[in-house]
Amino acid sequence: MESEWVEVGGQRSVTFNFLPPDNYTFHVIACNNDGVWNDAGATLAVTVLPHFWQTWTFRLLVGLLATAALVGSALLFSRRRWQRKLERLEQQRAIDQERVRIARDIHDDLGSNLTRITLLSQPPRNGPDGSSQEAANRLQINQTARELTRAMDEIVWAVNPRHDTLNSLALYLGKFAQDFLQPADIRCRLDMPMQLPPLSLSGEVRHNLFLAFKEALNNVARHSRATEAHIALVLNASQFILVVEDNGQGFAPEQSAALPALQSDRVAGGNGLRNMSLRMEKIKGRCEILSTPGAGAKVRLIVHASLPQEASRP
Amino acid sequence: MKNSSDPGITVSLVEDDTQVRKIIAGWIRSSPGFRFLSEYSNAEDALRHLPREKPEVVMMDINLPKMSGVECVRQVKPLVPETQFVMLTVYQDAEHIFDALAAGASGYLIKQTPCEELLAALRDLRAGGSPMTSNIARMVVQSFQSAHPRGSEENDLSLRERQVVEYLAQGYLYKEIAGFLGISVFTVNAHIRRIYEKLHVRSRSQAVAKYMQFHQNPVNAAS
Repeated sequence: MESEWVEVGGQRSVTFNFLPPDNYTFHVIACNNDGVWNDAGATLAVTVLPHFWQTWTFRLLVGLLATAALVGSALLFSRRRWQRKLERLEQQRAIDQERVRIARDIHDDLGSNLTRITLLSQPPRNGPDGSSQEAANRLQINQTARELTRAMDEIVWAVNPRHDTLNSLALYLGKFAQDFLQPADIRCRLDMPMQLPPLSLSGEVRHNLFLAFKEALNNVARHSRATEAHIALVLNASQFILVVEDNGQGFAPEQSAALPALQSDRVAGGNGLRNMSLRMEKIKGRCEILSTPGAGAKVRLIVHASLPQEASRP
Repeated sequence: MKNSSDPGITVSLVEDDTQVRKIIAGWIRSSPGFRFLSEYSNAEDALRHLPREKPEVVMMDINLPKMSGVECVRQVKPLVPETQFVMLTVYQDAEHIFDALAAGASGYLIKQTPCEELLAALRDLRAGGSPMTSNIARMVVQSFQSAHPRGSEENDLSLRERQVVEYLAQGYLYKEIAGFLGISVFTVNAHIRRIYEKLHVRSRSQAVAKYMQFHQNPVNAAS
């Protein structure tokens, strides 16, 4: 420890604190009252044994144990994560299976019965007999059954996980717009990319977007007096936008922008516009409405979605 | 088809719902200009008898108990190339309908279609009209854009056919397309018929290619 001499004065003892384990030789020299030094002095060999926690074997063991514990917990953690992921996947699969079953049941059971009702309630062949009450009722039944079939078609489409893609959405909305606008005598132009990225969309997103889209079409058919509507699907890196544009009479923006302050004759339309915004908010998207009186209207339904990388490749 | 003195379009019906089958069969039986040949409640029976009966038009339900209507068309159509198959469906599920068209059908009808409209559609089909909605046109374009099976260049769409089908996908009417391209509606119809034919050939050759790949090289196919 100290290789220097330590002066302790007249005391006959010396204390060394904190001697690390090792072998030591204790040298002592002293002088008497007359100042005569004993230069040879005395020697004492001292061995300070290490405590068990100071041995290298012990340290190595502890180090090993710590590493093992670290590795073990990391393994356990990743295993748990895998397990959780697996459970989530399994759960998703179970949900999907259930969705398929519901879609099939609605499709098969309700669909076939509604078809029978529609066919059985068809107006008689030899011209519509509009005079009798019975014929009128029959027509009513027929129309109701048709409407129900269409409503169920929408439900089946939203429920079935097979349609959880952007492509299916584009197909369905395009078809719907044409069927919807045709009776109102409005030409419908579709401008959607032919090849769409394999983006997965949940039933919830599809359903809400569909309802907002339907609302937009409803405005075109009921209020716009348009002759042509233009439906477009625009994609960029972080979102896709569904555009419904018409060449109708349009409306003053404040009528729609200040949604709560609607008191004109377009209250119904105003509710429609508000519903549209609510639908889009539900799926963390938004809805923009651009219109000037006399110059048509444009509704943009914006959905945030990070598109897969392949989409940006040429 | 047999001779000119035989009036009426010969029609067969494949539909598993007895009530629906009776109603539609009743309409056709009681309509002048049509001759109802036969009705089947499943694809297996239809598969056995249709090649012998050779009706001009077959109305085929898509959802049948065992073999699907789509599969039935795929198997019967090559045996009776003159017969037009029209699919019957409750919902306008684009993918199912496209599968049926690729298998050899020439159109589809919604089951709830009113009687007169249904009869008109059948007459139209017999006269060579080829209905194609913009939705189906879109799927046709997608199908032809995806990687082609080798050695099928002659089955790719021609420039004109591509123009027609792309206009259709954008929602233009036959009449409008005829105007744009400076051709008659009749010619537009002819193009669409040809597109359907190429679609059948294509899906058949794809099916064969898939089969060959699997059987020649099962290890690769499985990995």
